[in-house]
Amino acid sequence: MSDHTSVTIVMIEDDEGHARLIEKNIRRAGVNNEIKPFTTGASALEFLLGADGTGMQHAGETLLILLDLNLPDMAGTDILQQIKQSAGLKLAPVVVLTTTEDRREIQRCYDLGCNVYITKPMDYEHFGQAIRQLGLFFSVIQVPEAGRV
Amino acid sequence: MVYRAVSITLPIIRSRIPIQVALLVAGFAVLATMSLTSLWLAHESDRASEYVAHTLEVNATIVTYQGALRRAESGERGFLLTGEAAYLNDYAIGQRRLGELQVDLERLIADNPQQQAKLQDVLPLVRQKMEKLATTIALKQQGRNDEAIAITKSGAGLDLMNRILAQILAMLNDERSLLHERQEYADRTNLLLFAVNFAGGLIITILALASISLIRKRSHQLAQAHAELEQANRGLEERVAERTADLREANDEIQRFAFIVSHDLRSPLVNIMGFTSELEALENEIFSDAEITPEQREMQRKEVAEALGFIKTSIGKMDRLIKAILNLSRAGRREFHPQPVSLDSLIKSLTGDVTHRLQEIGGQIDLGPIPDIVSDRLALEQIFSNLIDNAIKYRRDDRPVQIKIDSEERGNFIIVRVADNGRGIEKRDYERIFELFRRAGAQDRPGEGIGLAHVRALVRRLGGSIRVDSIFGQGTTFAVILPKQWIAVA
Repeated sequence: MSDHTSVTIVMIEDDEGHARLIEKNIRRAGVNNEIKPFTTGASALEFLLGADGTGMQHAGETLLILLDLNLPDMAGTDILQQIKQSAGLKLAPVVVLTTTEDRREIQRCYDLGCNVYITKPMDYEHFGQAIRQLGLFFSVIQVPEAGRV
Repeated sequence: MVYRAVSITLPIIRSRIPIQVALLVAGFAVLATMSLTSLWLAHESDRASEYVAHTLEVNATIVTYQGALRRAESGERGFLLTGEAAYLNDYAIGQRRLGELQVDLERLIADNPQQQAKLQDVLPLVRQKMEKLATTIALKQQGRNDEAIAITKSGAGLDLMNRILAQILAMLNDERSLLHERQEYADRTNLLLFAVNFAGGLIITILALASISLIRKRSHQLAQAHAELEQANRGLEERVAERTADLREANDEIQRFAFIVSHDLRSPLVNIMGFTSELEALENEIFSDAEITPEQREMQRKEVAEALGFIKTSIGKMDRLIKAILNLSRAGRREFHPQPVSLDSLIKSLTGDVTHRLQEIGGQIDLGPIPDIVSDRLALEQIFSNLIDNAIKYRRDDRPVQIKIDSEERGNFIIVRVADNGRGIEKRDYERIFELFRRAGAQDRPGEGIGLAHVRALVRRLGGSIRVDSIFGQGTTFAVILPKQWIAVA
């Protein structure tokens, strides 16, 4: 187990505004962990899974993934599936963030192994709260190291 | 969606009814004629029989008449020989019977002038004979036997009798020939009756057979019509299933469209709401009376600028999305007009438009022969111009562009293939690229994710479909399948 302060937050979000709002609210919750932003699925997967596609290069690190489902280049569910099927990152917690409220889509994400599903509400107060709570959640959960089986 | 006219041709049963009725009427006519003829013939036969009976009666009466004359004569002879009065009784009976029978005979042959004439010839002779007989009897009774015998011996009586008998024989012969004639007539009538009945029966049998064959033919036709109707029904069911599948697909597409639009419109709204709230929070800070350092002021300025920047960008994005949706909706409402289109020259002119660009970046387009079709010209232009643009846009920078356009005819459809040697599309994105506002692969080229969604909508409206096949990193082929003869359906 590692200290949660060393947890790296990987944020996959194509909308810069959303990314900025998420970051602001995470910081507001007092979470000061490093945030690595990606705006496309391809670049995020390249970082996460590495050249060999296993994600084993992150062994020893602890990653938490924030994933927007609607990315321009590929479907968020495909990214989720690839993360959850990789040897190195299958245990990394994935928080799905999206404007979608489609029940089938939500169910599919849980089926694929997503840990938390948050819809981006139109009401900013709620959105902020949700993100802040997520920040609190980050500060208390034990994130397993990558590469563990 | 593809609309096709459903046409069911119901077999028309040509009117057999008049023939059937005609057969029936003919049958009844034959039957009626036969009955009437039979009735008449039976009546004739009856009459012939009556005539025969009459002739026989006449015959019998003539013979009896002759017998009565004989009896009267033999009575006279007996009396002459014996003088016994008993013989006179026979004579008297014969004489009386002669009178009676003469009346009968006259009545019976009233219809036959020849016989009447013959009878008139006989009657004076019979009267003479009877007078002679009366004379001899009177002589005998007076005791003048010799005189009486002398009269008898004279032979005049015998001669008279022979003449009478000859005359009567003639009458009998007449009657016999008449009998023969009438019997022949009766036989002929009976034969005719039989013939008529037989012929009538034969005709009715033929009519009945014709009717039966007609009915069988008709029921066969009915069965055939029934079978065809059943087949048409089955076809209809298939059409319904096909249409249901089309509608389901269209419905799924509308749902996906609604989902995408709601998500994509919501995304900038989240930004607008979020950064407006951030501005609200900043407002209190900015307008408070608390002293702040220039660094803090600078920080506030930056944050306000950032929030306003995001809000502006989001509004611009929403505006673009709404415009794109409006354009699509307008394109969807445009009326399509089928017309003969030389697809070959249409695509040639489209490739001509990009020649200059291709020369700059290096590349070429190969064109195979493409047949003419009947379709909407503008829609075809939009479809192929989008596909050619994409083929150039998503090229690989490390090699010259190679685009190949060719076609293939298959039944009532033609398949036009646009193949490039560009970056390719991953299999999992084959559907995604056709979705509105969605793009695939590296996001290094400008675009809104509208082109292919528009192309697919157009192809479908033209009654066709579009398929994509690609090897990632090597190239992509779009196959547009279009009906050769598109018919606009209102």
